[in-house]
Amino acid sequence: MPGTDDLSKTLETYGRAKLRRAVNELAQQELPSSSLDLSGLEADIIDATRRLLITGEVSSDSVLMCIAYFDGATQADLADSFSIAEGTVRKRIKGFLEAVVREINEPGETGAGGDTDAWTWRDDHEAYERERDSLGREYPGCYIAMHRGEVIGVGDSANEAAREGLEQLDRPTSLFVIRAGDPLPEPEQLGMQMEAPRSMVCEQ
Amino acid sequence: MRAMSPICYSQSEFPPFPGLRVELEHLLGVTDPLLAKIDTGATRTVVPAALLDQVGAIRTGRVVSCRSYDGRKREWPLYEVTLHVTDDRWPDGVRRLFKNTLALGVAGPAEVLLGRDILAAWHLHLDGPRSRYRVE
Repeated sequence: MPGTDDLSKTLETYGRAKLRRAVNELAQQELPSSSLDLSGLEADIIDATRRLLITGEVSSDSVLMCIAYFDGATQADLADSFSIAEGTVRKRIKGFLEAVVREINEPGETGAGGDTDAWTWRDDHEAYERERDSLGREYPGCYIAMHRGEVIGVGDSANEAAREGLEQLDRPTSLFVIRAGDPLPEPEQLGMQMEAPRSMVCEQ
Repeated sequence: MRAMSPICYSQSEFPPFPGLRVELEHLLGVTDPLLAKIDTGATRTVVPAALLDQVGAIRTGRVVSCRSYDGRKREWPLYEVTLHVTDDRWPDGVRRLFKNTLALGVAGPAEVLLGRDILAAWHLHLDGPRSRYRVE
């Protein structure tokens, strides 16, 4: 269970878009408040952050609903049901969700690529990494083109796989293509400064 | 033979800058001609991601990590795309075609910046006082 202090690391690991979806999903869940198991609750949150199935952005209202839910549930049930330090746990959950709200409202540097779509290139990479071994077994020696976590093109070359994928998709885009099973390369460190003031819009 | 004819800087901003017309091409076709900036400060060529989508460039899985001036670290994906210099002023015999070159794809409105990966193919002579350059 990530606490507020761990949020940056968590966002980096799972991606902001996924966290938004996770919170969105949590807001729609009917968690059993009368038999609330704290360890299960934490696992639910962690599992939810790993899910990639729900598309779309989470609203701040949904997050606030989560906070309200956990607040109420922990106050009402946890202290009686479990011999735990209820206040500490509640703060951890609430802190995590509040930090998510802040991240959503004030996007910071952890969003990579400048991509604001619910599904980003980083999500593609994460989906591939999760399935890498099985994809390597299923398509040995082949290149695969992926779109939102699905293989939509296979070929003996990157171009062949991408062509097949683009035909399936039937709209212009740039597909993620890799030889199945190959590890993703480590990020290349450039000395290049991006977001530099390359052109001046207005000088006073 | 127009081997060393000067090419005027673009006057679209001040001070003027050395630029040229290029087209991007890949699996889905080719862009309209684009004005690209010669940028010796760019390690790699930078292209708006929307253009890469338009031509069906391949996102390679490679990622580059850059820093902005406030110290924040950002990561950007690398795309495989073909870049073709289509500028009428470009001299004969100077390399025009860069097949399957790797470019940073950046979201949102952005310029095409020709980085040192492309510039390494040319001899450039910048004539700032006269706002023009030669290439060979």
